[in-house]
Amino acid sequence: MTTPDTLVYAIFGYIVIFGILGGYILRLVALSHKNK
Amino acid sequence: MKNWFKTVRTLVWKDLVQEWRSRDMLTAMLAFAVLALFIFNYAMELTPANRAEVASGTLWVVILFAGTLGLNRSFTAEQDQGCFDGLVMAVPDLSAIYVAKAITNFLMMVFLTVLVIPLYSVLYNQSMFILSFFTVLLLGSWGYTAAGTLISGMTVQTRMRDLLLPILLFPLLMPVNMAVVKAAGGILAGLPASEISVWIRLLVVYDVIVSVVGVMVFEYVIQE
Amino acid sequence: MLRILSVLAGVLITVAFAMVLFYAPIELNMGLVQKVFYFHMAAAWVGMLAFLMAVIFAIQFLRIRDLKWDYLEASSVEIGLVFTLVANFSGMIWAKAAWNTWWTWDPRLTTTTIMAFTYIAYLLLWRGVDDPQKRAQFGAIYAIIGFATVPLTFFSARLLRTIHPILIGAGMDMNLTPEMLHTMIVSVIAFTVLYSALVIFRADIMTRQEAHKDAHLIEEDY
Repeated sequence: MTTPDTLVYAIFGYIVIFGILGGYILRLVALSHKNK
Repeated sequence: MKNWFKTVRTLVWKDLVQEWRSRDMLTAMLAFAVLALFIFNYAMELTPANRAEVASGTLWVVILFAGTLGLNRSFTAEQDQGCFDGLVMAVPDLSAIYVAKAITNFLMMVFLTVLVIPLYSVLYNQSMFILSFFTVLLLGSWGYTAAGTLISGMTVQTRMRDLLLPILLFPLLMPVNMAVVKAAGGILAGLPASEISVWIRLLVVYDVIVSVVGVMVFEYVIQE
Repeated sequence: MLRILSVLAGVLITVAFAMVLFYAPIELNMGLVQKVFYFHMAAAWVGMLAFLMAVIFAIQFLRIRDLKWDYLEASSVEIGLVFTLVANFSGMIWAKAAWNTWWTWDPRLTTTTIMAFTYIAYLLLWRGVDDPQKRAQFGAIYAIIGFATVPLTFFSARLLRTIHPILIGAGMDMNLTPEMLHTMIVSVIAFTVLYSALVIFRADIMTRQEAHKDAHLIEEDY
């Protein structure tokens, strides 16, 4: 595995992890405002 | 305690007689099983090597899907005209209803299996008239109905009804699926007992756990 | 309470992230992609913790009959699903990088995927019942029986692997240096705190949604 390759995957992985989490948190915040 | 057994027996008899009078559920399940067999035949390549496992696998899958037909109907019979409330009032211990329904569903699945095994044996050219094979299917069917009766008791009261039953039930049945296919396939392929027994033990454990949970928790399915 | 937890979660995650970048060494075989492992592991752990908590909330509801336990339970399931999906997708990315395959029938991956299906089934059931009391009862029942079967699923999947060892996937274990272990623990704690904050937040929103529904009979937005 060459280094540039795994770096791409690593970045991709982090985007997925925090993307999903962040997206969910944002949705909760939006819901919270809607129901205030 | 003796009353409990009597209650269960009465309820089972009631449901069986009811089904025998119309026999539409059994007919539907049987027709489905045969049709599925033909569909599977065109869907998969059978080699002498994989025939044993494929045969038992497709048999179980068919039983699985045909079983949902039966499960869906197990509670709908009493839904008309508030018969279910009458049932609940007549029976002091609600777990008896659960056990009775589970036994009824179980017997229907067994009946289906008994009818289908000869047919599958012929069409797959694989003798399935082995007692241990049948026992594995029985164990799997009990786990299936123990979980399925509990779940269908709930889904029958939801908006989505029939559609929801497989979605809720199948994730819970994964251990049973794996164990039945592996054990049954192993028996047909003539694998040593040591490899098969562990799957059978798993099935027994599953059956016990799910039955116990079902008995303990069923009253909450019905309670208002 | 929520404020404190949220801030704490934010801080811990930042710390964990820093540790991943600077403290933990680069793994020999897999290279940089292994760094995904820390949060992947943390997410998987929280996914399972969420399920356990849901069952605890379920039992509490059946005992005490206060709907707040039901809201905590449903929130825990929803959040558990999110973390489980995070774990699954990050796991697949890691598998692709490490073994050039998106999927392996590894028992842990298989079990968490089935757990995700159980979560989804729970949420569908929960939204398919109109009466709040019934909904709570059914949710509790399904959580309990789901929890009872998941360990069995794991054992079956593992048994399947030992009898039929599959060529791909040399196993997801690796040797951890002390720095890696520290980083992992901090990540797990960080995500656990995040989970706690999210459960409280979500349950609070749910309570307000239900109150609005009673008042206005509006279709809820989920």
